[in-house]
Amino acid sequence: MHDVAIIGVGMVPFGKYPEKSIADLGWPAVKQALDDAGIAGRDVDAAFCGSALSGMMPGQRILGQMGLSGLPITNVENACSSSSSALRNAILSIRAGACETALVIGVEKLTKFGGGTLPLEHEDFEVQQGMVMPALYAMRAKRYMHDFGLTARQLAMVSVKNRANGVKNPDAQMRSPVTEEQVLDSRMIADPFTLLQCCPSGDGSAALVLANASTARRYRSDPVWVAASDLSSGRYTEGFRDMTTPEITVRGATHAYEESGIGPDEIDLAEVHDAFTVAELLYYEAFGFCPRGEAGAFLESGATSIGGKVPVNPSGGLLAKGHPIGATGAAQVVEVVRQLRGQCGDRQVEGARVGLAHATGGGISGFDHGACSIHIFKR
Amino acid sequence: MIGQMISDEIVEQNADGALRFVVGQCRDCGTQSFPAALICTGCQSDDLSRITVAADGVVYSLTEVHVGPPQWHRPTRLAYVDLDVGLRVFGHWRGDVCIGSAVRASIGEVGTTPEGEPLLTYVFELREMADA
Repeated sequence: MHDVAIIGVGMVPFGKYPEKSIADLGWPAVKQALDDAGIAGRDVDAAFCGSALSGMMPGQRILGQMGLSGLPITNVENACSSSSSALRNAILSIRAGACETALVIGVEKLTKFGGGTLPLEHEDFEVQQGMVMPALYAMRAKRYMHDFGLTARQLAMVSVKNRANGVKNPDAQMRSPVTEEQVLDSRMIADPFTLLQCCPSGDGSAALVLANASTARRYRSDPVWVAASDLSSGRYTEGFRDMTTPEITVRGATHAYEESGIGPDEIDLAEVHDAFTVAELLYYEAFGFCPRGEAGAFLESGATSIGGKVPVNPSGGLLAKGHPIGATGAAQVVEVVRQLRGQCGDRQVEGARVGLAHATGGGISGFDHGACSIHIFKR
Repeated sequence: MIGQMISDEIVEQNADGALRFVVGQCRDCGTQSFPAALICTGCQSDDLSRITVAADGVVYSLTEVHVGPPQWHRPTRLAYVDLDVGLRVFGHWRGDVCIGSAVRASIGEVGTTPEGEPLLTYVFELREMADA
């Protein structure tokens, strides 16, 4: 099996680009990633494009616009895990020897829906009955607060931390800091979440260039290595499920730690799927960064701030960087790679050698989460 | 009630007016489904019967939502309820309900159709209120 490295990364700042087509939203990230790797487009063997709501063949639309055609292009839809699932497919292809280099693209344009909550699948029973994503996460939060005594203030602190990180990230959609009071006083969206506890809606793209070991070393002296690549679907259940622990992430974390031989104590930074404040806290526990029920106190201790034991979402996370859903997984990896290369300026996690990226989601009946993809990288 | 049901097939009303959920039950392994499935999620058997169960359960979690598609009344009160038979049901609630409340469903209005008709479905409320 071939080792796989990331040799190039790129992204456009997440934000609102209603005038741009998917092609024009996507190609700048691809060009940046190719330039970062120092590789010519024609030397990319295969491409995998993750998007949830872009319609047919966003990969061909983006790469065709750049004149990169004829290579195998696979488009991947897996809700919020779309581009992290695309990444996994690229990794598996290189590991199998089917290609030496591969391009991963994540792209999404949510402004085309005119704002509001993420449009969900109308065939789904719970969606027909009124489910929206903020409601699903809000019910997780309410039950966690009930079971473990988490406070509204602790929830708000997740936004305060991630928005503070976003101030230092030029690619973030939200660049201003917020206080606990501002978070708690913003308008109610889904009890207990106020507006500033929900990721913003927006557009964006991110791209990664991958290579096998010998090719990677030809292009750069500091490739970032893939230590684990995991993808799971949720477990469908008709009955009781514990919404205070995301079983799909617990399972995926176990796989990823086993595959890499790396444990939670060795993770120097993590980009996790903080679509709503409570989610980040649940993931502290799911990844074993802190014991069950102690996420609020762990956050308050500063352990997950930059400079803490395990900085979480130094990019600003979904709450500050933004969440154009299909682009999120690839953008998380852009941050991890830049952190491991020491390129993150004011938000740099000092001495970072091992980083984790985690994209999960999907609001469909019977699943706590539909998909979850976890990657661990090391330098 | 006058209005448009979101889905007619998922509930039935007893002669005494009590609401019952229509549930699928596998003849091979007993796994139940709501809404009633055509294939068993426990063993993939397609030999399923339809039964009805009491619309009684306990609130697992709940929220009040102020955003979302325009057809729903705001705030939209949503919950997961664990039915006494062991199924978890997503739905609307009303009244003085909290986590752990014993609730019972009846038909209620939860929104308005684009044509201006009341939108109806099962709504959970405290059992003593439902009985009153």
